[in-house]
Amino acid sequence: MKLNIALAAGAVLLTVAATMMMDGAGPPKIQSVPAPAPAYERAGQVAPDAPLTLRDGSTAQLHDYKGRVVILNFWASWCVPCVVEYPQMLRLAAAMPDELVIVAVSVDEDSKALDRFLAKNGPRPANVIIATDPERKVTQGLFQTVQYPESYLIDSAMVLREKVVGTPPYAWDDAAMIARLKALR
Amino acid sequence: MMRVSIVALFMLLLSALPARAVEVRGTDFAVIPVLHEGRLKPMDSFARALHWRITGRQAGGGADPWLAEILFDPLVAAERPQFDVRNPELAAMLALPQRKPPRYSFAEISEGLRPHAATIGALARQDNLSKTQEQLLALQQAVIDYTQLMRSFSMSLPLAVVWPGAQGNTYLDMLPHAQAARDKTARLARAKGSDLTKYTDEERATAAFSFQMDVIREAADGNGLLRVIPSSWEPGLWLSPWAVLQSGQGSPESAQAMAQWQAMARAWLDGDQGAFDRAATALSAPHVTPRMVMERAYNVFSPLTLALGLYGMAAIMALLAARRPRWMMAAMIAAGAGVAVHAVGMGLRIYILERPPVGTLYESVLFVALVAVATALIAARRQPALMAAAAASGAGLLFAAPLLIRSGDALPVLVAVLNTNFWLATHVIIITAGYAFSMMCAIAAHIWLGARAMGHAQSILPMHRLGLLALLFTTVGTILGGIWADQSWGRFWGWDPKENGALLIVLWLVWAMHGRRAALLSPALYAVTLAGTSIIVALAWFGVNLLNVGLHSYGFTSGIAAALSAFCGIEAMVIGALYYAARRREAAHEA
Repeated sequence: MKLNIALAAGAVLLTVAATMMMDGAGPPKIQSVPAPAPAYERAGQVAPDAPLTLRDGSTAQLHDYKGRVVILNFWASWCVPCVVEYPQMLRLAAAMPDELVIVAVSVDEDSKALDRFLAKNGPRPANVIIATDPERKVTQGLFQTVQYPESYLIDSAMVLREKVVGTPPYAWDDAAMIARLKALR
Repeated sequence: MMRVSIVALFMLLLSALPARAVEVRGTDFAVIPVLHEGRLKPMDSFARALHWRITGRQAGGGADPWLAEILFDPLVAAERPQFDVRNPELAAMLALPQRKPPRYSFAEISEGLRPHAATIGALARQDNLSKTQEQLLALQQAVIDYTQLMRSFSMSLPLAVVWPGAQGNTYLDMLPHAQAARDKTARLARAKGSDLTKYTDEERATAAFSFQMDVIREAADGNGLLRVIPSSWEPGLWLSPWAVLQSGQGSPESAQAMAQWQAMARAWLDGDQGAFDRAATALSAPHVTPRMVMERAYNVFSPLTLALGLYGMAAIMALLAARRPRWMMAAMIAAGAGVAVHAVGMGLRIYILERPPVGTLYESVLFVALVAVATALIAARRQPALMAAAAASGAGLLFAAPLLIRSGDALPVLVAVLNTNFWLATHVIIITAGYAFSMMCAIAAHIWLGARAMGHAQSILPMHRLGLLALLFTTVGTILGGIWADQSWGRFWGWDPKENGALLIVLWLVWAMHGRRAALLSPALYAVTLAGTSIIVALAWFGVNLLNVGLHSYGFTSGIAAALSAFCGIEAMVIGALYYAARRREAAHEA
């Protein structure tokens, strides 16, 4: 009998001790879905070397701009937010002529409408590249963009770092955006 | 919204297609990851859970082919009878034709539900619904889930819409032309109004194309059930294909994944097994984990079903052992094999869910069955009646357990308050083991009373020892529960119904044992009190959950009140009858 009491008391004490020890342990696990590393930390998140058809009819590859920060922007002249942000992008490009390339891929089917828009907005800096993709082989097929505008921020090693869906919370030529882009060099 | 869905559905390709020749079973389709109810699981588990939830039936052999047909050939899936409507009042309300079995297609059910949309909306905001009303809401939800599945890949399936200049005839192929068509249609409407008879053939085709593209897009709003595309931008987030497109989460990775899904859909429709297999492997390989592979094995081999069968065999053999003692060894082997398989199943559940095995009412039933039969292997080696009863109880619990799963997912994620491995491994395990020992104690007491009623002398030791074991575990478990409650809810004891139920078991056993110890209870009365533990445990385990009050909300359930009342009533009568018979035998013997 005394042995049973001793065993029971020992079990209770052991439980209390274990409880106090566990109380000091870390917080319980709350993540039931394994979280992969963020996009910019995962190996293989290099931007695809997308083929580009430039406005003048020549071709290029996205990786031709490796070594500089790239904003890959998908837009259309019939898209109101795109029209609003385009002049901001021109000013941004002018502020970072050596560090930044803006590849603006237009999905306009009507090339004349695109020409009218570009002419209306005046000359653009040399580091603003206008490409066309009316069939959306790159826009939709490669990057799965179906709404506009969408912009990818790509670092100088061609790694996809961020995606801006719609327009950013501040203007493209804002000091905060410039600082953000400089951090991607 | 339902009307839009049906129109969108019937825009899918209607032309004659070759007979399906793709075999889904045995391909990597089963292990493609999908995020569902807070957990990343293999497609096989998702398909089984949805099949159960939508049709009300378990899919023997897996539900992968069923799901693949809904995803890739929704027109055929819409016509296949899936929905059981056994309530004649509900069938009449939906104007469904009478047939045996009363199984109907999505098309028939949708047509029947359409006039009742306003009623359903009103019912959803009410409490205290009738059985027919509850079934109506459940049917509506099943139809919604079915619709979500059918529309999951509507952007990638061939359409009965053709647009000149498009690369193909899927929504995504024709999307580049949708904006131009929309603009042209708007200009036409301004110029000529909305009367299509004033349009030329070409203009009508443009307007129809624009309308059809808009319908497909609108029908996809809120489509988020099949979350198979991992987000490249938010770690841990998985999205449905339409959600990826509509939320701007697209990326080169998601584009590749969508291309593989489209290839799989095309392979299904073309009957190309090789292409289907390749697409399934490409989709599963980057994200499948050993846990998902084990979960698939758990689903296929179904250790709990195997254990149920072995327990049933053990019960029959133990009954035979009453006449032929040689059968007892066979019964022990069958029960032992059942316990081993059952334990493997519980072990797999621990590995898959990464937590202790008891966190829901369903899991507590599984655990009690395991402990009860395992105890019988030790305590009932020379007692065929006890072994038979324990094995039968184990089989009965495993058989009834699935009734407690409403959502169809047998491997659920826990609610937040339970998400602590330490307390799940201690309090919950110990208190549930206490339920099992209490049940075994009650069984032993029933057998004692039965033996006495038939004039056989029986020692009270087996039921007494089991009662002591039950008392130890329920007491320690209750105390641990109080400590956990103090940490989680800020108080050791709050007279919560679940807490009261646990205390009731402890007090009942204490009362019985003190009564025996003080010689206030004769052996027969002692057996009656211990037999009555079954009623106390049933009320504490299931009954309190019917109240739907208190902080133990993860156990709330409904629909078992009648069964519980019947059990308690029958038990009381059986115990009373056994006691009466035992007393009569004793009196006759004394005489």
